[in-house]
Amino acid sequence: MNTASMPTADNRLALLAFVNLTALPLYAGMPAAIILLILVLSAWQLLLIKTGRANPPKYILMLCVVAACAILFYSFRHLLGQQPGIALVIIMCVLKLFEINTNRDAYIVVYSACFVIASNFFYDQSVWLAIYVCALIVVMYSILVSLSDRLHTTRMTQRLRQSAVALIYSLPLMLILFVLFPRIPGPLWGLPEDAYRNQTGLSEEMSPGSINQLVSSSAIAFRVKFDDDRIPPHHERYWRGIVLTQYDGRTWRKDDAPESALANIEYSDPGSAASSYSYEVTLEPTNLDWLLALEYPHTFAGRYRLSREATLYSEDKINNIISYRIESRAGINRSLFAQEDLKYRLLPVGRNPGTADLASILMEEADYDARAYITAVLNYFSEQGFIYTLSPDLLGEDAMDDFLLQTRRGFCEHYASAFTYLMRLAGIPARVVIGYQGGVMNPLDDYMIVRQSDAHAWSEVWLDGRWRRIDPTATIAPDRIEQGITSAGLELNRLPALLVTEFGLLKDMAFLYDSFQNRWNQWVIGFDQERQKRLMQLLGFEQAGASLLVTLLTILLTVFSLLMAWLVLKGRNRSTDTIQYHYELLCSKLERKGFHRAVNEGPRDFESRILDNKDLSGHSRAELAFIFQAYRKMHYGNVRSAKLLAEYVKKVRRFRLRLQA
Amino acid sequence: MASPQTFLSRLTLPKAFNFIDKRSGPFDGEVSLTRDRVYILPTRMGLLFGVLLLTLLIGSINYEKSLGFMLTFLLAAIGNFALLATWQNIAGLTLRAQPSPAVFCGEDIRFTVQLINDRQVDRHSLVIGQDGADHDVVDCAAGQVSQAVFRVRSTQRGRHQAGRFRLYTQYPTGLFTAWTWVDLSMHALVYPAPSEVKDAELSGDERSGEDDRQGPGQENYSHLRKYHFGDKPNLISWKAAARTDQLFTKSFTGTSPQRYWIDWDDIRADSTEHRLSTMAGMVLQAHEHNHLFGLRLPTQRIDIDSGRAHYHRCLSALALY
Repeated sequence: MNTASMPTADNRLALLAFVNLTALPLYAGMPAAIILLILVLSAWQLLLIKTGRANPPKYILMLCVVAACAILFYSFRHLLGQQPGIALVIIMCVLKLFEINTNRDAYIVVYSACFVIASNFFYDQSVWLAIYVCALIVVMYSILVSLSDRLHTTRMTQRLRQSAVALIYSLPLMLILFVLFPRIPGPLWGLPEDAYRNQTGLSEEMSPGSINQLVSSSAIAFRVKFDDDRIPPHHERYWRGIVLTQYDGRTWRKDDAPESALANIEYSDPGSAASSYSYEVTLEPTNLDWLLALEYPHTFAGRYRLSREATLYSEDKINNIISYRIESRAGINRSLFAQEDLKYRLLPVGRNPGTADLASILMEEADYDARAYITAVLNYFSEQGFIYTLSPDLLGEDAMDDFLLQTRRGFCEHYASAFTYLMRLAGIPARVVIGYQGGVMNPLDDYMIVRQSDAHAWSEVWLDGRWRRIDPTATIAPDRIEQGITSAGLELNRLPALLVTEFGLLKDMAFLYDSFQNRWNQWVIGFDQERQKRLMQLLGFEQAGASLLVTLLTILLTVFSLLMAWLVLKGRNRSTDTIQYHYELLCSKLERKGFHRAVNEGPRDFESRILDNKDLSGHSRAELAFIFQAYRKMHYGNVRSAKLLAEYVKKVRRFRLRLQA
Repeated sequence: MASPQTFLSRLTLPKAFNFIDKRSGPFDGEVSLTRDRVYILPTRMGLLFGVLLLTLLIGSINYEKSLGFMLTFLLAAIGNFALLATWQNIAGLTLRAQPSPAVFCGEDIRFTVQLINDRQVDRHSLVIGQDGADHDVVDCAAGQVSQAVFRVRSTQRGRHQAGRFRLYTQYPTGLFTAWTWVDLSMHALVYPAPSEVKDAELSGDERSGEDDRQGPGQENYSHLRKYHFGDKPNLISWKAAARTDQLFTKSFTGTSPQRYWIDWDDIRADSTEHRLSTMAGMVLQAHEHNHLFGLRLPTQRIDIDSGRAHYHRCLSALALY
């Protein structure tokens, strides 16, 4: 096989380009050192190809591998994770280019590059990437064509066109397989620890500035589709995430109750007013294992569990887009044992003396009544000139003192933090809750979009035997809660442009685009076992088990393959002799009407035999006379007239034998 | 070129494959490659492609990546398309045998096959060969005719049957091999290898060169005459041609050309083959020196004559003895 022969310079260039193209989308998340290494190696290979020099000897390549490993180790701190793994595959691909001696090596490079393509999907599965991948496959196919073209007579445009045709013929088959191939809930084996990059979004701790930095991101956090058009008003759109309990003077952290501990929630009657909502959330990957929900989730899928802190947990980290249905009902959360009580009142010792004093003063004012104290604190916020801003001043060691007594400028995390702190100082169990507040309806498809810019922090306080939500931001900047982040009087230049723009058209286009994204997320990226079942039900198959799917798949594949084979193979079989082909077409038309051409009957004889027939209509007569004459001229007389040929072809195609009435 | 790495060429075919024998001929000089004559299988790289697909599939299942499925299935579908395209690159071709020139034993016989492409599609990288080796690679554009040549080293005098040869292609993609085995009843004549002629082996009245008559001979240059079609090129006076733009042939006087018989009985040799080789050598020499000669064999006699046709007639007689 010509696996033994050396690929041409053109082929090697194409391979170099292909490898770089497959790695390109991954650059967004790779450390600069790695990108630089890849580019340097690629440039070196380019130089070698262009100047026609030989590849460097094996030991130099080994040195490159060692250097690459060193850089990876420096960037990622370990070599056995997903990120360094992918970077290593790319580097190996590029280094393999230096070792191409036969066509077989070229194939190995192409196949390795396919793995690189696949690793893109860990970071992005958008429709743009899908289109880009299709383009890459076209390039790949044309490289394979070039490798098998031993005389190097094909041109690149020719090959690319061939490849595009190949892709088009392949898309329907791919769709059939995509829809019908049974989806097994993975994973079949475990994922490495660092499987995913840090996602933008909430993390599991909060310190001054952590929510603030999410405000400028218009990235979608999740989308919600409500049932029955019952949608909560803006001020009720509190999407509860996790509870943060431990405070070290700067940062709030999680401190979960054991998994076995159950939440103690009394749900209100479903019939009562608008306190019950049914909805489906489509959540973007977070690399965390908790979900967002309205207070409090009542009905949800069995694979999720409601924790003691009333947070909905999933078994695995969410690394793919998932959808989950919930029915939330208003309720009374009574989850607090005496033993738990302590952890919600702990504060670091010896800090923020000013705040301690303030707390004492407010408690005295409130006569040591919890409710009155809460009101006093909230009044302190509203009356002492506190400002809701995205650019608060930096806080020092005694952050609370600085904020409450001096700067009085902060964002929701400051207020939630300060409020919880003051509650704990008075001995009232209190905790910080982070999640999202708000959401905008997409008028095109009637679903709600919640973005990272809607991230929010608030507080929960144990009062009268139950947890109550208290959001100090509602006191300081009520518009934020009533209307959303763009209406809260915040600095517009910090907010995402998309939300702030006045252009109605831009907003409409953004909604349209998001609609499309949503559908893509649900039906393509989120196409799991459940959605497959749903699709099959839509198509009329009630029970779509794996065996039915496989049967359908086999049938459709067979039918389709045969169809495709017929289509591809028949269209190309026409003889180059158009003239002869159409003459034979005419003869078959005449045959159908009963005029059989004898085996050795020439066109002249045949013509006169037909025209002898008295029953022919004048029109048919004239047509036939023309056709036969044209045929004789072109086929025997070697007349080369494009016009005549076109006329002849047209007349033959349109010809229908008519007899006189 | 290296031998093709397909499965079939490395297996010895069991009895079950006898149907191939029936389908591959022998045909009378021309055959059209219809569906039942073209076979197709994946190449090594094609199998490796399959492994790639399987790996991508398992990875997509494990990491639950929908686009991973999309990639896998798209590659599978395009592999399917490649199968059709490779098949189409060779099927429908018409093969026509061309006559093969005769050679001396020990030389390579060249068998030329005409590939006729009467479709509207270009065909590329068609490889012809025999016994596992590749001999020639050709393209065949739409509506065109190409020639492909495969070679056999001759080891015996006589009529050599080409037998079955193999035409295959891996274009496009190189993931599949589509091939056919065909026997077009091609044959070529192999003359006995000429051996050195020693004077001692000649006998009798072969030489009659003592004549000093004026006549067309080859010893003394006498004059130029106009070129007749068929005159030997080495007798043309090129200097005169350069000067006058017309061709002139040199004419000699001298002794008349030698006339003699190359006779079977006159040659001392150990075996038939040796004798035939010697006679072939003599024929060759006689022809080179433009002598008039005749051939006497136990089974036939060829009268004294000269010229190319006569030369080949004599050698054929020797070959087929």
